[in-house]
Amino acid sequence: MRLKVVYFGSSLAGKSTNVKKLYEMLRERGIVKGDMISMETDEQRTLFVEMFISSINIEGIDLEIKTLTTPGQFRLHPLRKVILKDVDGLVFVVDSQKERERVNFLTMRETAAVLKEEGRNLFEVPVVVQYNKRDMPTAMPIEDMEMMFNPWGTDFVEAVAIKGVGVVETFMKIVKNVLVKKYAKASSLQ
Amino acid sequence: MELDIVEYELSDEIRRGIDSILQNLFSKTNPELIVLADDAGRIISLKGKTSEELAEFVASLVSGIFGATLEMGKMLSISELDMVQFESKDSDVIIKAVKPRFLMGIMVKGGTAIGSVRLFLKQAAQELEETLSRLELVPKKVVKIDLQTIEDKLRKVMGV
Repeated sequence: MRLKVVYFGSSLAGKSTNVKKLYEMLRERGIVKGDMISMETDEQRTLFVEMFISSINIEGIDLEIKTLTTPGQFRLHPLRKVILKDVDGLVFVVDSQKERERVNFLTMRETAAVLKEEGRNLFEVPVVVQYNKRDMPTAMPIEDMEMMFNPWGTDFVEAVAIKGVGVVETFMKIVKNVLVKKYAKASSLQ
Repeated sequence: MELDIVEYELSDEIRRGIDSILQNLFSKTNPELIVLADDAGRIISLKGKTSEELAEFVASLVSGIFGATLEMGKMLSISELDMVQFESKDSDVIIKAVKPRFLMGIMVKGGTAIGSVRLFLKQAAQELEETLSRLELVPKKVVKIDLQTIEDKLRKVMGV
């Protein structure tokens, strides 16, 4: 079974850092296949995509999870549309710094618009919200961020991705949420 | 809460049909690689000497490149864009749309008669469209698992 998980968020929120750290950490655990592909500009900004494949076996079912990032820069909107095509699960990487509050919000709005063009609703796609850069001095309180950036009321994770904090936990939660969304029996949702 | 995890795959008949068409194209064009993927970058089939992982990445990029080209086409009012080609000193690559939502990429060595490749590729795409119009997903396996178990398994696998 193949799943497509995409990390989205504002420019410099830490999407690439998340995916690179995740690749390293899962590789140590022997659950990645092949290398990580990264298309960056000379300034180490994501131009197109970063991606890798992880392989997990649960109860005899092989899950192949392709993890991708969207480029965060606003000018790369057309490429975000391409990468978000038929996504199974989203990780919303939110920069916790107060000065990034508005750009976080704009990113969420843009992503909703991109999915709407594809005939999908952002609020029906499995999501995990990751509040990144929790170690920064201007990091906003979680309660305030929950009100602004988690309209799904879904799982959230506090992270310092550059140190690997919260990275694997975020990934685990999105895989779980995708499986629940895709395969939960309606009759047992009581 | 309980989850029914159902794994789907293409029916054997469809898979055989796809394989036959790609093999025929392979014989006619002698390429380095042929990849059939959906427009979200999920690989359906491939021919050529490459690892499964590399093919997965190639499939993603094929869909990404084609999708990006379509976006550019919309902006520039280029209609019915269904084939993309690029050339290098060593190789030529062509990506062709296959209705309703698939893409076929072929990579041939430089110096290959590219006109013939394009012709055979178009023929193969037509045949694939006919085969894929009968596409039905069949359940392969159903596993019942509760939410707590799935969380525990994921934690164990990922060492959280």
